[in-house]
Amino acid sequence: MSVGLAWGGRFEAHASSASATLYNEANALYRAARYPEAIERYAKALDAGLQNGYVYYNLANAYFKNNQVGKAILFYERALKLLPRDEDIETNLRFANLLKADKDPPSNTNPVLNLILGMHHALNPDEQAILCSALLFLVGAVAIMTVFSYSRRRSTFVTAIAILGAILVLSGVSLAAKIHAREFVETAIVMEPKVDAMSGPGDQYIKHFALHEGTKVVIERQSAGWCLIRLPNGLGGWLRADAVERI
Amino acid sequence: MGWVAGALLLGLLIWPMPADAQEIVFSAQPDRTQMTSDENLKLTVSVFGHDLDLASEPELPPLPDFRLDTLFRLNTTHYGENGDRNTKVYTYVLTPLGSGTLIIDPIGLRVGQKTLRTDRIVIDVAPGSGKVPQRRRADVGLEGLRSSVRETKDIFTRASVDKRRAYLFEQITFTFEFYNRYDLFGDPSYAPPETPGFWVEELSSDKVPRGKVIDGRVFDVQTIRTALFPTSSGTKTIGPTTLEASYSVDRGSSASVALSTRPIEVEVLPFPEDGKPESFSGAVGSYKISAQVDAREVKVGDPISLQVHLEGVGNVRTFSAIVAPPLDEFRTYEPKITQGSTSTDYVIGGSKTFEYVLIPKSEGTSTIGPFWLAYFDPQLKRYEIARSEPISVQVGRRVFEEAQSGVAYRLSHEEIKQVGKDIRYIKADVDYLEDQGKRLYGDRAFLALQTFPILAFFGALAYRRRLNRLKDDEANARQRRARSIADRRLKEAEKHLGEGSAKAFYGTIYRTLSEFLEDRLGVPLAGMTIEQLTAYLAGHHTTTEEIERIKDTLDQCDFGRFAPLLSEGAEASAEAKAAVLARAHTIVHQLDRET
Repeated sequence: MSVGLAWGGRFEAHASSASATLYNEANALYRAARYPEAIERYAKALDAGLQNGYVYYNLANAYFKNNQVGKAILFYERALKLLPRDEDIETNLRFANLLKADKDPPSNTNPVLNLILGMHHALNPDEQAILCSALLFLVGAVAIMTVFSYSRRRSTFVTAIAILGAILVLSGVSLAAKIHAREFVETAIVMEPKVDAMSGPGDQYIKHFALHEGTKVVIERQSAGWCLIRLPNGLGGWLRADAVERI
Repeated sequence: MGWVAGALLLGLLIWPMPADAQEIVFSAQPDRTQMTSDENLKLTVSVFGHDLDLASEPELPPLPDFRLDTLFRLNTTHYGENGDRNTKVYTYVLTPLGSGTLIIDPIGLRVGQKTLRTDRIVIDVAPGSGKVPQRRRADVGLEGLRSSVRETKDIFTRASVDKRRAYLFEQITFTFEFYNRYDLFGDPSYAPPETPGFWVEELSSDKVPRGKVIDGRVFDVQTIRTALFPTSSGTKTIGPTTLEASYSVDRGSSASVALSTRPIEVEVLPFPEDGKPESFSGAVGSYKISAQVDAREVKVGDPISLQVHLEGVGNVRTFSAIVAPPLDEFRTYEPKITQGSTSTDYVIGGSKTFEYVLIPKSEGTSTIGPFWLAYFDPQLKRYEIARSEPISVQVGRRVFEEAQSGVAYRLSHEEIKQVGKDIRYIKADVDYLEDQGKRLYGDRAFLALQTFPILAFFGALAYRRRLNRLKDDEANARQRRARSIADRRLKEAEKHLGEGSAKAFYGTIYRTLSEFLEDRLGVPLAGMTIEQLTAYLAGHHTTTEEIERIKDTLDQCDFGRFAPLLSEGAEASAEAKAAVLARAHTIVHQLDRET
């Protein structure tokens, strides 16, 4: 496990001093309530391809203060992907969603399902990978002990392997789901105050429904400058690609 | 030449010959030549002959002085000694359009290549009283022909309206009825009237004939009703409705009739100017409006669904929208409109529903409505206003607005209430920013690391198997070396014998035998009783004699090891020790041979 953690530390990127400087300058502007300038600074800090949950969070706050709810929700969502257990991000995202024009889908009331989903979302994919790795090493160690143990102790080790193995399988499934969601499922936020969802990729098609700024959608595919999106309630339609921004 | 003439004659006999126009009698006869403009003229055109298939329909000339109201056709076949003869009779009912000497030019009939013509007909029409001539129905009579047409008033049509004066967009119900007492061939062919200047809505149609008794006689009646809404004022004409039907008259006879109703004039009144509301848009009838919302208490920014429902009797489809009140306190969107139509007792009605989504912009009590519609009630002959009831909606504060309101809040002594809410503050400054976007789970080295526990497990498994194999081999090796070890030890014992060390001698003999038994036979002597040893050896096919020898030798060794003083005396003679040694050799030799 220590090897896994050490390996995780391998991915702790070297300090980005320029980005940190820009970030701190942006914070100062934010404190002075100069939100548009703060937004510009935060964006520059991200220019080099840096992905950092704190920068996303602060940038989202700046957008929110600047009354750009759609952008705020977008960057809260990006921050949450990297820091899934951050309470500040969750709280502010919930708050920003209250200001959307479109209603959120009804929340799940099943406590068991909520618990499972909570556990599923508690770790980001990298943390989950480290957990799976640790479990795998643990299972391996107990299996090796089983090989060299006397017959009286073997049943205990086998039970331990079964339990750890089940946890490993569940954790692995959760990790696979997260990887799939991150790599293959595109989500986006509507950026325009109001946009029409059409029955086909063009203005000549029939309007299905309208969406408003801040609504979260899933992008199924793209064609000729239009995106086919899907809502949680199953409703689907084509939006102009420039009307949404991917999370 | 003879055969040529015969062929010609045969050809003449079998070749279908064109009808000879001279064999067809074609005539036209009016029922009168002097009449008034109030009366109808019946013009009978007859075609009589052997074969009328090649004869066309009579071709009427232009009749600028008459209006053709009705046409009857009658086909009859007469069977006689000189062959069958057919008769076609066309009866035209004409109405003069003026007075004076009116001319009906010759009527033509094409028969093959030739055309037959009747004589010109002159009718003197005196001015009438000005009344509209009575319609002549099928009961005009077909005298002069042998026919079995049943009697008068057997087939006719009627057209009527429920009112001759109506306002703009007020419904006029047009009714067309077809009365008939014959057996029809198929459905009659119906052509609706021309209705310029009207909006037309279909009403119910009783195309399945219903029985009706008129003057004691039963008729089959088919009825078609249409709602007409005049779209401009003035005198409007509903054109004639035509119907063609074929029916059986008698055996061998059939007749077809083309009936046409008279045009009907109606007067369309414009809307009165007195009291006309500014917002009036042409709604005529009787209406009511209602409104409802899905929530009466909301917060700023929460959408409200508003439904405004208009229903009533009249031309709902032809006017556009109701009048909406100002809704400045809300953000509004274009309403979704659905409409439906009804027909009750042949009166058109309908409904329209306007669905609004309203989003309140500020807190407070907001009033929605009233929605209203100005319409003209033709029954009351005045303008009316349909109005919905106003709806009050309580709009509460959105929580984040509290923090920006600048109002000071009072805190209770008993509890601390959260009085404002805002987003949480930004994260603090940092010395460095880590890139959190890397994907550990995709790193090859990380993935390669995960194979380590699996490989380690299989490695441990292989190592364990090797150890087990070695353990088995060791046992084999010890078994193989048992004889040489025993021999070496016995030599050692012999050495002790020579030295006179009884304890060492007996100890060595015991150890030799016990280890040999263990290595060769797998006998674990340690902790075993003599009885157990005996039973074990018996189970390994050792003879009784050998078992006794082994037992005695081991007993003597024990005696020698643990009671050495006794063994040092006369009893423990060298010969006795030598005997023990010899027995040990014998035991080893025999067991070695047997195992």
